[in-house]
Amino acid sequence: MKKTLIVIPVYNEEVNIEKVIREIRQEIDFADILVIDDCSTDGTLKKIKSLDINFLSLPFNLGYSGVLQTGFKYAVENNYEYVVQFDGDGQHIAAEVKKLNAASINENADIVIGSRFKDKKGYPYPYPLFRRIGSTIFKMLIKNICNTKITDPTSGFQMLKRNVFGRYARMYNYPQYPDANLIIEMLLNKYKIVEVPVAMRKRETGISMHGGFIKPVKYMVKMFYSIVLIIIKYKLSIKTKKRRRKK
Amino acid sequence: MSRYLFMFIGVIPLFLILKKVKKNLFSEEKSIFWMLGGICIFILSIFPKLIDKLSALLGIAHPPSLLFLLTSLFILYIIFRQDQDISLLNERVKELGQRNAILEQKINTLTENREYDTENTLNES
Repeated sequence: MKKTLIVIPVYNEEVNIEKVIREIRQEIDFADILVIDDCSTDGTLKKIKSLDINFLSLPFNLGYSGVLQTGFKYAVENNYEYVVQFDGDGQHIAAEVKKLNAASINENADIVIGSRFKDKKGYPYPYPLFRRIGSTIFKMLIKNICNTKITDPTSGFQMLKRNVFGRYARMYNYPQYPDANLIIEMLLNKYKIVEVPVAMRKRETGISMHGGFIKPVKYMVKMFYSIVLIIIKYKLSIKTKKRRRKK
Repeated sequence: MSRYLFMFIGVIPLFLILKKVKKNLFSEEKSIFWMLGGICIFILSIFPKLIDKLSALLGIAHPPSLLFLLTSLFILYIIFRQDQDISLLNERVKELGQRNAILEQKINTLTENREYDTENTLNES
């Protein structure tokens, strides 16, 4: 068994999944692959079974974050040292995992984020205005709260060390959208986050989970609420720590 | 006459709750609040003047509004508790689903290994 686990959450990715896995197998030899099917309604599960690959199949739909957390739990149980979050829709490029791995080892980072925007060439596609605005707001929030510059707070392409995914696996209420809120929480709790410029592809087929108009609005509201709660919790935890020290 | 009607209405929830608790269809813990609510209705139906006195005490000009206020508070509280329970349950169900998936995978690999082993031993013998 290898030290690193690549977790690929899939939901109705019948068309993309085979290509994604073939690519990873070609490019990456230092990691095991785990595909997690979030109770897809098309032939995804059948496809995965035919690929002779390690997979989990959830009994009901848990959503992206619930699937990720399942992967973290699996990684904890099987004693992996690192977890790579990798999208099943073909947006992430397998060869870029090497960059994350190098940064994780060289810089001893707890979380390595693959950033589309750190290097201008990383994502040469038009990025929707609404998302750009959201992304900028979260960047500013992270900068103001944690005094750290994160260029791509919504990137799902991350490599996590054992202490991080172990924490996520145990986390009660692992957030529905694990983006800027988790970054803020981890930064506040003194985890080391490093960003690496990576290239990503444009989505080819299938529907993005942030499509439409209502969903992004919901996303923003939930994200703000989540961040506010994290800050309150953090402040409270500092207070209790101080009180304990006084005693 | 209306007094007896209200008394009757006040007694119905008490009996309903008791019946459900007896049959183990309603937990003791959850039924407490409904039981308290039912008892309140029953008492008020016997002594309707209580509401007048209470609202005079609190300075509420229109006594029935006190009744509505109390009922809405009661209902809000119960809904709040229910939402709390639902979110707890959601989290637990999620946890179960995740564990289930991980265990299923474990069983699958174990049975595969076993089949592989038995095939090998059969071939050897």
